[in-house]
Amino acid sequence: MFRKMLEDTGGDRTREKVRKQSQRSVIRNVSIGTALAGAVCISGIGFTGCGSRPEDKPLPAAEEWAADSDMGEEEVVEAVDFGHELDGYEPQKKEYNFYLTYKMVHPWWDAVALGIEDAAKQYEQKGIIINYEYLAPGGVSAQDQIQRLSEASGRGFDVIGVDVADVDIVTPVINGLIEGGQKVMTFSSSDASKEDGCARIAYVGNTHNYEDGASLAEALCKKLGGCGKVAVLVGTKGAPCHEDRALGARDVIAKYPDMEIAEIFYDEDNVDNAYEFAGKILKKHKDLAGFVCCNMSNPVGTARAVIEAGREDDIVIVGMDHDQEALRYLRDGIIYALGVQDCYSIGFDTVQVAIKIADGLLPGEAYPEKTEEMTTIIYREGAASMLRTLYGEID
Amino acid sequence: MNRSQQNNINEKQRRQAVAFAVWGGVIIAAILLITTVWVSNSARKGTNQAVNRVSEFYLEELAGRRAQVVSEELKNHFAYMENALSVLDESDLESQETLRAFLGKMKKLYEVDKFVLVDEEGIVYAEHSTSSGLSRYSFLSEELTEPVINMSSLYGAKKQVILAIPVEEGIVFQGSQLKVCFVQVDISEMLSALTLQTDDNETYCNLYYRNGESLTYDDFGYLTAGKNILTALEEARMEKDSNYDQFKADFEAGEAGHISFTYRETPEELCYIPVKGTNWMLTILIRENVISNQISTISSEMMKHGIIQIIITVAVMLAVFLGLIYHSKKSAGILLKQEREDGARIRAAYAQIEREQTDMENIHTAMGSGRWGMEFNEKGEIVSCTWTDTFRRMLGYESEEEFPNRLESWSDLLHADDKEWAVQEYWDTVRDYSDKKTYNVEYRLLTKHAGWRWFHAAGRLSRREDGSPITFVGLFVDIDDEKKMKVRLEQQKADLQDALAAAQHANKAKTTFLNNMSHDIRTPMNAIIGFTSLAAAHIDNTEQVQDYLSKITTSSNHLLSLINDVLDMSRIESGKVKIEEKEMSLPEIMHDLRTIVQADITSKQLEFYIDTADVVNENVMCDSLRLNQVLLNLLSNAMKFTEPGGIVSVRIMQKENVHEGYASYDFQVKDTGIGMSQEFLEHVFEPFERERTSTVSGVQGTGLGMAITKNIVDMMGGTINVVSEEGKGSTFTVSLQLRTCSGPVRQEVIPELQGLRALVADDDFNTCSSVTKMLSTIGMRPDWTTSGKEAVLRVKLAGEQNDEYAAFIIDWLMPDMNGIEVVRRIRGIIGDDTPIIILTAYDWTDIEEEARNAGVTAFCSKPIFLSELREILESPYVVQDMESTAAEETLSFDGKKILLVEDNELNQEIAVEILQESGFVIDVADDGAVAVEKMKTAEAGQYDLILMDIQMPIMNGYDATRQIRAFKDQEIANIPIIAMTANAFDEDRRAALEAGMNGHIAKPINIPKLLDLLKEILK
Repeated sequence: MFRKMLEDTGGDRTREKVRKQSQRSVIRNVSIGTALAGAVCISGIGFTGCGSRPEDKPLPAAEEWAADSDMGEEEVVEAVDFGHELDGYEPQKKEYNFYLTYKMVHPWWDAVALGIEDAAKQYEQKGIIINYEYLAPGGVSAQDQIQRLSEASGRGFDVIGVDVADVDIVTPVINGLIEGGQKVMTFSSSDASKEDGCARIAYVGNTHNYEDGASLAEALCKKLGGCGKVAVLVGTKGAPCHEDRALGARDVIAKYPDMEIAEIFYDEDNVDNAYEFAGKILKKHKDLAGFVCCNMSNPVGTARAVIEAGREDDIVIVGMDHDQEALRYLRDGIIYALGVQDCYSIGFDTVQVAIKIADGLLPGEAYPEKTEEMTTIIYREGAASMLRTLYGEID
Repeated sequence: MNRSQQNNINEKQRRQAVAFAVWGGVIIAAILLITTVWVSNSARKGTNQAVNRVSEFYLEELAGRRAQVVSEELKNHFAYMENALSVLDESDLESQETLRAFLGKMKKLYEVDKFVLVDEEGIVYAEHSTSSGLSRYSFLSEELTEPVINMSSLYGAKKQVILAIPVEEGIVFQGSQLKVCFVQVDISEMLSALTLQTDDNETYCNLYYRNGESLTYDDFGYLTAGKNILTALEEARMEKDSNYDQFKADFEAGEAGHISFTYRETPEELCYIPVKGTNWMLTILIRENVISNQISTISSEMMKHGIIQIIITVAVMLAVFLGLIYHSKKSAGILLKQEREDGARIRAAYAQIEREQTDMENIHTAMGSGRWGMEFNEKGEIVSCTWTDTFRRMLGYESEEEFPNRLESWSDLLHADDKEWAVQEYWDTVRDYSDKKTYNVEYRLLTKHAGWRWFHAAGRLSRREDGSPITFVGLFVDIDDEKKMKVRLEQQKADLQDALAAAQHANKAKTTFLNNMSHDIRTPMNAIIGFTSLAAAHIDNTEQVQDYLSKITTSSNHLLSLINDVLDMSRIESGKVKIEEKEMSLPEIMHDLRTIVQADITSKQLEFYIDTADVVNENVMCDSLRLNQVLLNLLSNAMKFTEPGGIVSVRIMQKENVHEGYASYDFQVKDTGIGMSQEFLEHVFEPFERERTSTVSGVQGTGLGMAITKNIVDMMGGTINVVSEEGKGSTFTVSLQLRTCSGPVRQEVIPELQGLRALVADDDFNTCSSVTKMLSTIGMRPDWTTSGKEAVLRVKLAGEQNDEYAAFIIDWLMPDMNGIEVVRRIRGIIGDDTPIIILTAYDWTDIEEEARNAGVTAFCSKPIFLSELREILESPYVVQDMESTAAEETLSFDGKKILLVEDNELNQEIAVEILQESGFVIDVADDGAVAVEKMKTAEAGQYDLILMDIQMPIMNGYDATRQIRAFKDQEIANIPIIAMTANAFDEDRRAALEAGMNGHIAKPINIPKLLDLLKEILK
């Protein structure tokens, strides 16, 4: 499940949206179904052809890769819902104060910030003021996060939102805040759920990191014909979203008997680290066939390293997120596939849900306990469109 | 010629004129029409070329202006930020809320998408948000040192221009330095105002980077939104004179230019120009068909307008011709009629002028304003001067002989203070060829009979074309009465203002007084109530209770003194205080004064000097109580405002040159205290004035002491002066002239001491000086020194010279050697025979024994008077103590019986306790009537004394006393009765004595005073 799953809380518009999303889900499922079927076939054939592929059979040309995807330009454009509008809920107060803290200062969360900003603007046009603090440390730190939460708890915010840096460390603090009467939600990339023992009220964001990782790995495996040695790059150790994606990727790769994971590296959400590690892996494993990149910085650093090594024609990179440089690599055929999350909607819906929580509503009719935002896997033919949509970049 | 023929001729002329006008108009119209068609046709061809050329210029001009607007817009935004930072103050930085409010105001004021401040941690503060901005705004990654323009391709393809400036050092918010201020402007919105786009999409405006990348996400003609213009126009077909390579080179180099091309089958004109201060290019695109359509429309319109213009011109000309003919006929008749009317009007006007001149003369005469006039030649010299008779009469002159018609007749009479400027003003007016100046002056002239009087003169000149004067005519009015009235009114106004200011000052002072009093009364009251509660709470702790009671007593005494001051002032102001002159002794007054202040001087650790100078009349008629009050007030103030270690001195000086039977004295009280400001000195004797309130100074007082003092001194016919300087101290001098009641102190020489030497040793020069003078008066040869050591040396020297001292007067406390030590050493030299007197302003009780052992013959208090010195020296070998009092006769009150007449139970209780403590046996009567009844039935000797309250419900104390005094049993009737009352004034005391009482003691009860009085009466 890559697409956003929204409950019907906003009338016709939302119903239409859900309808479209379910259509897209079908497309995605067909795509995955095809991929899985392909994988099974290839794995059947692969036993004969795998050993000779890297050297004997060059990878398909970039143009051919585009044909692998059945996703049209319209789908790509809709991967991020910039036309997001407020649902029909009428807030009970004229002014709200939110404190939102996330893992680290990073462009991914800037995209979330834009959704928050636009939601606040739309509320302001309705005469409702949303004041918020949207702050994070320079690098991921659970200790820093719990300190921020503790400080924020005494400042009278209506709702505190947290993108959980480490479930084990942060959950007790969230529970403490809840016990103290503070309303706490989780948002964006990482949740701490009831299953984790967390009493947070709701979550808005990506709920399918495992599936995202699995889908990207599936696409990679399919591209490689079900055989080859691959490396997995992950972001921050302990970050639930990154770990889940890595796990999803590993599980899928494990299904392919001729696939092998050569290395797993954590780049700590740093492009330079990703570049350095990818370079080392390329040197160490001359027969490496691909990379699964589980965060935003992984694919950028990896693509740079692959270009530097001059191996862009025989290395398949799949990765996450919408970094502009990564999208350019996708457009230029360096990267094979990217999973683009709808960060804008994450931010936008976080504000909507926070207002309802502030008004004392509990998950149920008004909003789901988990507002799932979609991830769209895009390929080369969708890259230009995505660049235009996200960054206004036109060839 | 008859009327019919005349009419025919006129009709013929009229027809000819009309025909001429019509044909003339038609010919002119035809010429105009032909020339217009010809001009229009030839112009149409040229216009096409011209308009094309002009449109190019226009486009360039348009693009230039747009580029300038964009550049200005960017510049303005930088200026907005500078302005905003300049008004950002501490209050805006107090909290996140205040900063957000400030940013919100700036955002609205400057109409930007965002108005933001960023701190050194990269935290971005906006109107409603606080967020981490380091990754979102790339320019924040390095320190900003100058303004930057940053194009942000934000996620979501929202193209924004960010204009940022560095924030100066020192602006700190929540402990973090603010480093950057930036605004976010929507580039598309900025451009939308510049685009002349209509429904037909005629012109387009856009901004590009020099590499052709679009700054906006808007369509530009047929160029898709955001498309690179250099790439797009590669496909375009360039018209002749336009070259793609040149366009690209211009664009990349940031040069302005213009090209014509066909893109998607549409001929278009593109103008591009760099935007100053950026690496942007502004482009304007217009489609050629728009220009050609415009040209065609303009030409047709021109043709149409030309023809309409000709028709209207001809019609108007015809109308004008006809109108002229009609008007010329009509105007001839009107002119004739008007000439007649004008003649009549002129004649009437002349008559009116004559009447008015006569009236004016009459008015001048009646109003007492004299007219004058002068005539001038072309050089501006006076050729004639005319003073009217009215003018002359106003000055007291009757004829031209007395007051000739020349300027000097007037100027010679001008007051010396006015002459120079009045004459100058006259000539300045005459010589002001611009004719802007008006002569309008007031001055004094010497009249023939009425001395100096004020006059007002005003005049105007008529001038030639070159501005030179012709005539100068004016009026002259006597304003003396008005002027004097004005002076009086101004004086009255000033007086009233002074009075108002005084009243306001007094009112303010009273308000301040009430405020101070509220504070000053509450302070001791607080202590009294507080310590009373504490005493009650710790009643078993005797030591603590004693301490509380001591504090309660101090506060009570202070409160009492406050009340006394206020009441004193009130009585003085209502005239109830009378000066009662009685014979008194100045030495007694001064010694009493010293005794009273002794304790305070010691406790405040002040140096105290008291001495006399030239006092030869020691007994005078004076109200000693009031004099004492005056001096005590001054001394209390001196002590109050002098810090420990400071000096307070009192001096009494007798002055010479007074009427016989009188003596004049200066009582001078000096301190080295905090002094007073010059501003306060002006009000020091006014009631309710204090330089600092007690809450500020910590020194309590009503602000009435000095006012009371001044009033008493005034009542005594004296004066009081003060000299003071802030930080240095004050000197108050009270000068009084008092009647002497006995002759001067004996001045004659004491024969036994005549010619003998005496030594005075005192560190106070004034004492040395005054005692030396006294010693000279009684015939001795005095020496003096301010050093104890020197005194010892002098004694040694005297011995060596065989001219020993016969008497010594030594100060007790001298800085270099203690007086006792000096005595001890002198005694070591001279033996025991010669009298040595210790002179001191302090209580010597504690050192008396030590002093006598050291060889002191006698003690004498400062200030020493001649009579006292004489008395001591006349009996030099008698060891005596001038101040020592005879052993007090002890009187026991044990068993003495008192009838206490008091209606107030609390007062009863207090009095009973006090009296029983002293051994009295008390019987109490609740009212005067009860007391009378008790006394009626009392046996002789049953009571030794009655303490009588005055105000009681049934019978007051006076009536009760009168009734008791009226008893037949004289033993009972003569029982001592003492008024013990809260009626504490002098008149109350007198009333008590008049009612037959033996004494008066005021409440609250001063126990020592009460016991002294009882002792005195029961003795």
